[in-house]
Amino acid sequence: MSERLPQSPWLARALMGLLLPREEREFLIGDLEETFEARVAAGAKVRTARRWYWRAALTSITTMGRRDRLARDLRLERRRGDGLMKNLLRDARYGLRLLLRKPGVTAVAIITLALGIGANTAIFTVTHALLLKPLPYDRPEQLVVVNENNLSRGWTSFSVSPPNFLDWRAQSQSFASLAAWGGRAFNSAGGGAPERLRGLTGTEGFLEMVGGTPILGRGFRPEEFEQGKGFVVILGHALWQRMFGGRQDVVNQTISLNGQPYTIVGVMHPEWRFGGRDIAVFTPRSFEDGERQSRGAHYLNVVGRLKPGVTVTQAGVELSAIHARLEQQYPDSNKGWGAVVRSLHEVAVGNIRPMLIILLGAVGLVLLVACANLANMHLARATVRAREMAVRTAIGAGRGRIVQQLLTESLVLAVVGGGLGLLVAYWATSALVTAYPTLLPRSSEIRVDGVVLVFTLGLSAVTAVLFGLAPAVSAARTDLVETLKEGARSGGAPSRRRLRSALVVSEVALAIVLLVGAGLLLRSFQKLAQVAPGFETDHRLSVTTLLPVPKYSDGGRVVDFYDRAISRLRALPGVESVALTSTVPISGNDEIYSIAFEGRPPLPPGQGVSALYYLVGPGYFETIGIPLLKGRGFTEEDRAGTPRVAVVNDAFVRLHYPNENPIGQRIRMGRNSSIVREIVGVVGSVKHYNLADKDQAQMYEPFAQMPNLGMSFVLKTALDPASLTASVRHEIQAVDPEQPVAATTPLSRMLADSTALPRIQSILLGVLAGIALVLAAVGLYGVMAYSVSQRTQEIGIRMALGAHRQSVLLMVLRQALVLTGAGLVIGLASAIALGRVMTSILEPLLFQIEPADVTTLVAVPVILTVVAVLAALVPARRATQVDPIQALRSL
Amino acid sequence: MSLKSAPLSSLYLGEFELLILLAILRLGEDAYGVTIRDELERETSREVTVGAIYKTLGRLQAKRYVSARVGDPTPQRGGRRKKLYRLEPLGSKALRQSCADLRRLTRGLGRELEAL
Repeated sequence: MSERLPQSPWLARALMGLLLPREEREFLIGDLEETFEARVAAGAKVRTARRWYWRAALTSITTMGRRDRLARDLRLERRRGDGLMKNLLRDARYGLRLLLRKPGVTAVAIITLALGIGANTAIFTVTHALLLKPLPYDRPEQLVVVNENNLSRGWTSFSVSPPNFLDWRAQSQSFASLAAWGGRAFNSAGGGAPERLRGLTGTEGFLEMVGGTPILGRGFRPEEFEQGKGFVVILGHALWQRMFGGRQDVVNQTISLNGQPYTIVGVMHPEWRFGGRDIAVFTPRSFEDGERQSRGAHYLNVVGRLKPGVTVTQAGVELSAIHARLEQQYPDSNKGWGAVVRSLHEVAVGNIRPMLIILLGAVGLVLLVACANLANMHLARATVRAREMAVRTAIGAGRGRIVQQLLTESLVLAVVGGGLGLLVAYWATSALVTAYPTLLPRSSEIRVDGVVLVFTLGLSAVTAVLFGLAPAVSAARTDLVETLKEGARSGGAPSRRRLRSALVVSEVALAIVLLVGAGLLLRSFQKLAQVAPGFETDHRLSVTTLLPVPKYSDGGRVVDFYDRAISRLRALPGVESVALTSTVPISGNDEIYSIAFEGRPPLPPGQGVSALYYLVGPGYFETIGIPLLKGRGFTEEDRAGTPRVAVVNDAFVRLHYPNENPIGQRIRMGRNSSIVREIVGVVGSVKHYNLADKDQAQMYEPFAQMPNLGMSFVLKTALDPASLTASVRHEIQAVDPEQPVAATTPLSRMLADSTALPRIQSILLGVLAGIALVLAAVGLYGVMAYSVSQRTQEIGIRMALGAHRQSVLLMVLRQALVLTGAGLVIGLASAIALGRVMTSILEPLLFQIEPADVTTLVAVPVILTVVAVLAALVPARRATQVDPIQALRSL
Repeated sequence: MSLKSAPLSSLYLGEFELLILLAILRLGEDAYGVTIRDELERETSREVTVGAIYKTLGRLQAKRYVSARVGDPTPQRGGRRKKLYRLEPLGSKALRQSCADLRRLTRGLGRELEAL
């Protein structure tokens, strides 16, 4: 077979299979297939042939489907021996045929439902994966994260120092296991090109706690956690496959990591992830003597498993008591520090919860607006179908039976819409996860699964009742005799008209609430985006490297490597300047050190001050675009052997030298605080974590006076920075062929990533509010158009008696504005009230914007009124074109 | 009461029924949905939907003017079988009567009809 033959549309085939009478189904479909094939064979375009097929299928369904069933259908009679299910199926078929006869209206209804249910399913999929599903570890409810905190300095959660961790582990009774861990990058130079591997190192019990069991070899032995015996490694499954081709005999072989030989003792099982990431190597963590003494150095992450029956609160109380004792024992380092225990689940998803709650509420409101719209459509149709219902009742259909049938029709609509909604949700969530893999925690667990399916099905059923029940009951209550007598000119009961108006008012009110929410987030994001980060991100590239210890144990060799790399990178075409830094702002990494001031009395314990710390090379401030405010930056002269110098930022000066000239002041700071440094310059502040930060004290030391193994190059480029990635790697490996490059990232990307969450949540809420606005406008249009068509005669009489077209136009518009106004008042009041109630959820999402933001509260009603007038204008103009003669004649 | 087979006192044929019976007569052994439709489209230059043909064939069958038998499955049509139609004596009689009526009514009108 060279080519697949064109196929007739399967959906049309399936519909016919479902809806045609069984006796004729096979032959009729066969005929259509034969004709389709013949047309294609005769050279007709496949699209034309398909369109013909669809038309033929639909006309066949509507002409064939009803013939012999009409009477029974009309009575909605239950066939003898048929169960409820069969009855329901028959109603569903009938409903489907009715829907197919009005494809336009049906399409609008189904799209409305697909959007409403789809948005709900998508947000539920994310919520379910993140908040509701247990973490993928053994007995995850027992797992906790332990941190230190220092509330007097505003740190609610901080890393732990090794001696404090060791004391906790020795003294506490609440934990079955308590372990410290940290990420650790390794350079591997085995075999081909040098590679940087993502590693994880933990103390005894860590791997067992987070479910890391090897599929090959063994875990770590207790003695391997002793100092100097930890040169053993467990390989990640992917690395094992890639580097060793999945060979079984890797156990007991050695691998070179950071220039040291490590013995491979095991291979991790393939599904295991940590923090959603694939980890390449695991090593045991032990503490050197120096670490065991430095109680003031905070850099460990600590996790624990509670003993059965112990609660998070109890563990917190116990650790706080232990920490209070340590504070008394070691006031120099521990004064002001406390311990805090939180469940792992809370830590993993806590910061995403406010956004998800807001979005869940928003999609719920959108679905309500959609339901109100559909209910309105059904009410309008119920008026048209009043005679059908009257005939059914007249020949013996019960009221309950009619409600049942109309509800089944709604259910058919909701199920079709829900099915499409599921596709929308599947597409939306996978697009979100693919586009922003690191935006959400646990994102690898976000998928449409059985629970989501059940949710969607249930939601579709609830939706059907929501939008179908009121019209169905109202239709069943039709006055039989009046409807049949009144003939074609039935006006629709006043109660039904009131119901329709109420629905439109609530649609407007719901849309207002959503628009206010979206407006707040958009304004907040706008403010955030206007914040200057304090450095340039355009045409800047960050390139990170980490030099391995044994090879570069001498500071001179480190400086030499970076000097040579910088001069090679500077020579690259398209590179304007290059400089070094230990930490790139916005990258997520940080170093904070305490400071001591020469010539001032030492600060009492617990009142120490600290600042963000950067080691930078000459030209750093110019390259990254941080303005020099006073004094000088670092030069080539600031190297080993020359006087020790430092640069601080303006926030540092405001805090510590409010009334003095900072230049010439002497401080001790950083990794080796015995060294006194003289402040030679003051620079502008940079936003280090994200744009919403307040300015923090920051300090800089020259790299050449304190050589460091892990540094980042910052390149100012004339070209697109991403295009330089390959040549940058090439130049660095020309200096040391064994040296891998960890990451190259344009700074503009880093900045965009740091604002991705607020951007996405404002976009999402904006889209939802937009949908609600369109739905409300459609609803208003529908009610006004219907009202005008009902009042044709009245309008005709008015015009015959001398009313101007303009006054007719205004009359209709006024009616629309009364409905809109009622919705506006209710909506604004609800939005303000909701803002009050939800302050605690809203506040973390808003930046420099109050929940009762005046601009938003004024702009939203204006926008909505304009849209409402536009929606009402079409029916209003139609009203002015009523021909008085025609209208009077039809009286 | 059933709406589907109201008894007819005479052998009256609707226009579309007449056309379909004539097509079946012309097609002989090979009269089924597709061929009937092709025949009508070719000879009457009007567009006919399959649904309408089946609806009318159902009515003609109910009046016992035509009978249907199920043919063998063929590789075209996705292996689906055909329903082949054949004229029954009652149908032949109705057709004969209708055509005679038409002939009588058009007798001598040749020139006038041409001039229309």
